[in-house]
Amino acid sequence: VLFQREAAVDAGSPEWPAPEEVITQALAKPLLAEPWTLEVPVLLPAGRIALDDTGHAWWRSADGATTLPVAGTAEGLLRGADLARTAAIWSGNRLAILAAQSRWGRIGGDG
Amino acid sequence: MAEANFDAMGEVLARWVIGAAAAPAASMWNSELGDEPGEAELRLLALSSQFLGVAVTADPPAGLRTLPDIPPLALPTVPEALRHLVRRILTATKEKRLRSELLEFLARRGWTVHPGDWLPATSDESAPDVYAPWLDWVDVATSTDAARKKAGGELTVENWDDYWPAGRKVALLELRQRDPDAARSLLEAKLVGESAETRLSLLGLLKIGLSDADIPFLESIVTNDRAPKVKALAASLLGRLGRGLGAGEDAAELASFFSVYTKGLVRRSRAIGFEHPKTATQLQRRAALFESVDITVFAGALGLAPEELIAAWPWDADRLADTALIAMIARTGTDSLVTLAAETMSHSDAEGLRGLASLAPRLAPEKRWQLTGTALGAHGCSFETAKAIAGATGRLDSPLDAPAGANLVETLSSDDAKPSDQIAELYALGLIASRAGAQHSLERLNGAGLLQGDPRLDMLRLNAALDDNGAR
Repeated sequence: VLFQREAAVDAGSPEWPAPEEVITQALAKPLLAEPWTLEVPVLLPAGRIALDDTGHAWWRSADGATTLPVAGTAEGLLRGADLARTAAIWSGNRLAILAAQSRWGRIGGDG
Repeated sequence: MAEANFDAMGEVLARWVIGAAAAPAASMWNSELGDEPGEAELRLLALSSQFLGVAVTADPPAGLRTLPDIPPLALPTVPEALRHLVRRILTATKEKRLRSELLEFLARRGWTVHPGDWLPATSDESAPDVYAPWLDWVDVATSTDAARKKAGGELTVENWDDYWPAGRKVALLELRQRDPDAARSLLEAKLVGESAETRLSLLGLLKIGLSDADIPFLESIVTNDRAPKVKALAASLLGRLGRGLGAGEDAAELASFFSVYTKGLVRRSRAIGFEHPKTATQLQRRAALFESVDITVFAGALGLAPEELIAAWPWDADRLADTALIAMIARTGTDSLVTLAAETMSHSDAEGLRGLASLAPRLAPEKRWQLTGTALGAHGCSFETAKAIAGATGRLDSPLDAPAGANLVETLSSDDAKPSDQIAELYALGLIASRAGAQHSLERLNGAGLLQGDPRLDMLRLNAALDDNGAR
């Protein structure tokens, strides 16, 4: 045996960090500092995926103050759970969700 | 300020579209753009890009809707440490039937998959009943009729429409198990208003606790229902109650493909001979008749009781006829006749055992397991066949001690074994072995040269690592 992987252990779900600033600032600040920035990584606060009449997905903050269009369709579990935190890439007009934390644990961006 | 800038952007972009200079339209940035026209256009491009990126996002349309939470199921999801194995197996098993077997195996062990790894598709009726809340959630997600809520309490005529389809079916199944007459009465009242597909699905629940009390209702469906498939199901259920409805002419025509004679000098017994069809058309006609005629009526046309027909049938002489007869028994035979046919088939060769597998869904779980044990003792029974007979039971303690196990180890140990060999057989082994059986099998197969990380062993590894929370 050259290498043996031990059985994986359930490490639990470590607490995700809380976003440090309001969403609009988190999206605008990197662009103001470096105007040539194409993509802004962002950690979003509590929110949920909502759908418009054509089936396009939007991320909406829990307080309803911010609604951002989501890239792709946000399938599966992403649509059916409160997202306590969401890690995403903001391209200036679409939010590409990388992962989210929910009561089901971490959810991948593909649902 | 931002609104004024945004309003000006419309004019700027319109000018660029037609190839005109836009700087004169951006008066709010006059000082930043400068006096040199070419430089002003470049500065305007940079400023407007940053403005649009920083200060403008799409306005959400009115009427955004959020879906309800995906409901938790009655069973816990598999431990986090094993989810990667479940995901790998789900990814590798494209076939719906194989995926259903994994779900069935997990449910029997007291687990469900994580909704991040799998969610049912609409009308995915192959999933175990424990997933009914997710099926209804998917219905909600794809429906605009979001106002309908899941009803609580016992299913009744009054709250029938308050249920989503999967939840209603489970409620009806529970009612049928508890009170067969009440469930039938509910179907009598509500079935006619459902689609043909739903009628077929719900009528199938009458298989549970089927009794003579169901006969008038089934006969009314055979007479009045509009869908041929629903009529056929009702007719087959009547057949199981010994009330076959097959047309006498069809049964007589089918019987003409066979002859009954007496054999033996001392212990005289009846035997059936084949009047072999001479043309492909005759063969097709015989197959069609097998699919439409009831076993009791067919046996009667031969002058035999159904039990005598099974005893007199020359098994293995005509495989096509064997398969067709088994299908006829599975479709229309009484429970006792199905058991008799299954016991007869359990001593067959590999091909005959496939007939047993098609009868297995009609048998009680313990009977299926008993016949699987009998079949596995024979050399012709593979783990795949055993799985088809027993289902994804996860109960076999020493699978590799069976002839199928010895054959598997020998094949995998041979010098010309390939990495793609025996995938289906190893998957079946992983589904029928008990946890201890899976652990022992892994040790033996590792000893035979298979790597621990071999993806063919994923199902066995999942089985070996998964606690048994109690069979369902």
